[in-house]
Amino acid sequence: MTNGPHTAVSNQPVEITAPAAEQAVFEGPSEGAQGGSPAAFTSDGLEQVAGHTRALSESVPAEAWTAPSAPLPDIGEASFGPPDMLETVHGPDDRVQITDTAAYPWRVNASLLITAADNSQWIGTGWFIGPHTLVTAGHVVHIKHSGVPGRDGWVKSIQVMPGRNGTFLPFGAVTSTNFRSVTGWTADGDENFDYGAIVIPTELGAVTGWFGFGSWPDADLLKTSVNISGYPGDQPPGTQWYDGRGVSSVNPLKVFYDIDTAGGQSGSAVYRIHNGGRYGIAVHAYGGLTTNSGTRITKAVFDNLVLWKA
Amino acid sequence: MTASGGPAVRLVTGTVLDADGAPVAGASVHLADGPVPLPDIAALTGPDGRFSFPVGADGVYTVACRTADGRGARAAVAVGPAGAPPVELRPG
Repeated sequence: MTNGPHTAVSNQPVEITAPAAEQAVFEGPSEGAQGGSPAAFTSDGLEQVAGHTRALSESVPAEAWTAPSAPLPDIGEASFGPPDMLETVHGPDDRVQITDTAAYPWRVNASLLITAADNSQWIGTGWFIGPHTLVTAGHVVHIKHSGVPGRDGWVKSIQVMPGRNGTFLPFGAVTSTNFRSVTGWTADGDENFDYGAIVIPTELGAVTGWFGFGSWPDADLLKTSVNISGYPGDQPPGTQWYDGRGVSSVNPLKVFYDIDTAGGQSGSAVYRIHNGGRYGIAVHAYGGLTTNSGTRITKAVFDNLVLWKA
Repeated sequence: MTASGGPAVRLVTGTVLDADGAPVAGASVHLADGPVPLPDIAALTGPDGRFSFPVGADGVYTVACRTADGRGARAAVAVGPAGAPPVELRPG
């Protein structure tokens, strides 16, 4: 099955074919078999985390505040003007550390230790969407244009550590060598198609639970609060950090938000609360001028995630 | 690991060193800021303390590191058509 730049590819010798049946628009979450009381969320769609407050800019009345326009990737520097410095942490750092990482939903997020083809090591974040599948960024599973001989291509392995909190691994670790992405990333290196998946050799996601995911229209996303929790490299090793606020803007392939992140959070879920469940709407991948961005879960992305979850 | 799909890749390279000038293994290094959107991934230094990041545009980038014992360092590096000088990060 081909689907343009969303054509699914794998590092496995036998290509998986897409099911013929039409897929639903939304896939539901699961809190997993581990049990316990899930963390609460606020009425405006953010996780209820001690120490986290909604950004001050969002308390300004809408008529007095103009949302930043989307830094459309196809107009590049023209959108930014003269090269300014970009910060993936914008203004005050609003991230707060999650310490009860064995509880849902935090245990859905996994710290990733990536070993590239040249044995260089990297850190990233992934999130369960099913018993044996985690979503992450395409550049986590397949390296493009590294400029280093022997580094490009599918990574060698990824150690997956769900709910990690420093040296504490409440669900242990599992190593995968089984990855998915799409040709828009693996062949073209186009950041609009920067998403992928890790398939693990166990059913650990049935214990931790997973996030749902869905494809949402622009108007709905633009009035939605979103949440990101991941494993940044500027904090104590293996600690999970959270921030959340409203979506800044969207384009057909990306979602932009002023949520603080740092290197190591590539692949994190950008998720919303919907009907009491948590649903990924994008895959965090880049830091930008005034907003960070993630690969939007469009219908084509959704279809691939359903395929990879099976 | 670059946002650029084009061939014009330049490298930001460097080494994490301790106070005695010895390489530091296991330090997390990432590009904290720069002139274009950057992949939000971090490198872990190997036994030689070295790291390298591809970048797709000229400009000034900030490289930040954090060691396993919590020490950090940052440095700015200018990337031009000829590339960039190697960065030395010495966490304090």
